[in-house]
Amino acid sequence: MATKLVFVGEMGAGKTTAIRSISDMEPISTEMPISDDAALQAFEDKSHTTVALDYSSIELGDGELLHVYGVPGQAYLDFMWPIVAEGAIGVIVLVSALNPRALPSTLTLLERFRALAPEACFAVGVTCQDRQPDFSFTDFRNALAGDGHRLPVMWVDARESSQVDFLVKALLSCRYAESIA
Amino acid sequence: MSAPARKISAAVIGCKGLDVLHMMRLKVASSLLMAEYIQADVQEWNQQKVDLLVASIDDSAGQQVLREAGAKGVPVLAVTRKLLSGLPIPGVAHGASVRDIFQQLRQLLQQVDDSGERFLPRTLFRSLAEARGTPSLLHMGLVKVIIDAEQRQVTLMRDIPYENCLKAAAESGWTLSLLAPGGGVGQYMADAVSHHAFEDFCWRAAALSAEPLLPQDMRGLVQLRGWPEVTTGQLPMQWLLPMAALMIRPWRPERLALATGGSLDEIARIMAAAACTGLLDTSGNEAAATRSGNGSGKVPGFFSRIAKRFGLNFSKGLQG
Repeated sequence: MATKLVFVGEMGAGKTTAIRSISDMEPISTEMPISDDAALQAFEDKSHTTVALDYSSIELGDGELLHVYGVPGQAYLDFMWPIVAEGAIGVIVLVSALNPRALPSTLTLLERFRALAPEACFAVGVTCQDRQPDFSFTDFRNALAGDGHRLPVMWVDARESSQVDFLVKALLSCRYAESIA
Repeated sequence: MSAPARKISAAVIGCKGLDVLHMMRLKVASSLLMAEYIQADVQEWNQQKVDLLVASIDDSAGQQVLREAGAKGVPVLAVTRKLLSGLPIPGVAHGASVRDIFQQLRQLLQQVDDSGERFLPRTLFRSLAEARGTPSLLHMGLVKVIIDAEQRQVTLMRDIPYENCLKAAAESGWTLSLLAPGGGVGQYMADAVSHHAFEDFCWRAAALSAEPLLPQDMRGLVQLRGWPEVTTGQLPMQWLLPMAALMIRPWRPERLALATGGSLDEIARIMAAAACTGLLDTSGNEAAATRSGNGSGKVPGFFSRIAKRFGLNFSKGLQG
């Protein structure tokens, strides 16, 4: 049974923050200091990053839980992906507008996770809008659509629970829409 | 039993070359049109689209205006010192009373009306449709915006809340001036107060408007080309399911309303927002529209409980 919601994205995309903002419990994360100087410069307000999974849960009542995972999007950690993707009801790809490889990174993650979780629905959240005003949302969205990914794409401030919540609502709507289409 | 409420229509009356006396009488006469359920907006004519032009035609400038109006197909009510019987177009005598002007306006506007649609309220989006993508300066009362659809940007020129501009977009009485592509917008940027994504402006205005931004053909197949760039959380929750369905395949609006538990009016508002932002795809074919999903709308109980946890109810579409 699909009991998982998965957030995936590269370092600095906001996975841990997004999961924290909608969870009923403090996410369990393995955070380590960033050792890469270039990454430290790129993420000036971030000194630690998640090196393995984030895990949290959302209570549905009567003891039922929706398990929420955050998975690093870096290719060298892809051995984790099949394990987490199995039984996912939905996958949300988070990408930072500051990421110069935002589009190829997102395309890769969508392709890989669609293959791993063919039953899942997908949505994309673009973070860090306030720090990258020149990011062309429409070009990004149109490029995804051009590659066959017609799915909800929206700006999201991972710190704002209402925005992450809305992104999840859009994802769930897609899931239901698949059943009536 | 009371008579059904008659809808007030809106007309734009252009004027050119009138002196103060005739201008004042024209304005009073125009205001009397409310008795005919016509809300008339009198504007100085600068080639913009109007329903009727009232112009003094006795000098060479007036003759030029007459030619320009003729070229644009704009009906003209002439104000002239010449014999009215010799005029090839409707006219009133120089010094005509408010009553004379009113009667002519009423007759001419009703002729326009009889020939086609009722005068539609000049909302921001109706005005913008005439611009056909050219950057435009639009204003109504205190609200003043520049819309550059090609650059996908809306610029507020007055320091008033964005939300107020969005609400005002659906009201009538907007006037539009075309700006020269390229440099035309630049000269106003020093006074710009804030910039917003064009899609955000259109979709949020659509969400706040009781009617579609522009009339839609509700018979064909429609699909969404992409998810609009709207501030997250600002779209109505009940739009999510129809929008998600429109991302998957083409739908007939009526069928979509039925499948999602929404109203046809709601679907029309979504379609209008999509049309205004270039996201409405009407090229779908029947084969794609009958894509075979399971079509049942039945989902496992666990999914329903997740949806409920996020404040959604899919039992009759998405009710939020």
